[in-house]
Amino acid sequence: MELLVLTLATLLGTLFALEAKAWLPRVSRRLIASAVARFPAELDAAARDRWSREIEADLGAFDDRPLGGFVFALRVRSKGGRDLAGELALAEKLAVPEEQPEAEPQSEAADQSLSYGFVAGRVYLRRSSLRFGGLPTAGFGEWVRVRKDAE
Amino acid sequence: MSEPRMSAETLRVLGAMLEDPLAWHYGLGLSEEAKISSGTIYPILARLEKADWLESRWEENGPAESEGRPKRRLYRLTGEGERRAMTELEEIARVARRVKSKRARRGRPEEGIARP
Repeated sequence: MELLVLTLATLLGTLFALEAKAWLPRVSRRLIASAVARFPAELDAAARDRWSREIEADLGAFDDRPLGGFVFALRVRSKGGRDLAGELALAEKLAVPEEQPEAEPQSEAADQSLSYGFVAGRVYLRRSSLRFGGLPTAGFGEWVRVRKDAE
Repeated sequence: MSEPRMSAETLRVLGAMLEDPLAWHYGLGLSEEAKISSGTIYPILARLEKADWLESRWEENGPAESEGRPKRRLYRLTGEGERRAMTELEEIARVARRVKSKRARRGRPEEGIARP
């Protein structure tokens, strides 16, 4: 019975190893593709293709070591891809000048109301200056004093 | 031109490239030379290339075809990159020397602080 279990386990182990050897490169390539998919959306297709080709070419060095290739792809997917995406996003941000908010064009009505405001302000200052004498701001002190006297 | 952030890994990559500044290196090979994680190398290369410390190109067909593999992306230090990398590494070495001499003056052992 023990011999049968041992034989079955060996057979299954060998089959599993063969399956893994066939599947791991494919899984590794999927992991790289997934890392590339996380690159910033603003990145143009040429740059995306360049990094994808570069990492896949380096993955090619693991053709005879599928497990090593899988670990490499896993590292690229987990940390390298995220950091590279961050670097590329930063590069994109640095390359594109920030848009300056355009000054809203003032309408004719707004211009007119502004000039009315100036005129009204000048009239008020002139009147308060005439009424209380001296600087226009002196009007406020005078107003306080009058109020206090009235009370 | 942006200033690249200097991490320990970046300095190791620069150190590996400075051993032969005129040679072209590829990402995976560099990560092995610099003894850093293979996943970390690409962000460093992107950063250094963006700062114009590195130039890059695709490998020619010859070696890739003869070895039956895809073409690699190759990197090399630019003149400016070589100069700046040397400055950075010298600065680190200077700091290390200063720390070492300060510790020696204080009478601390070279190996480290003996903890009770």
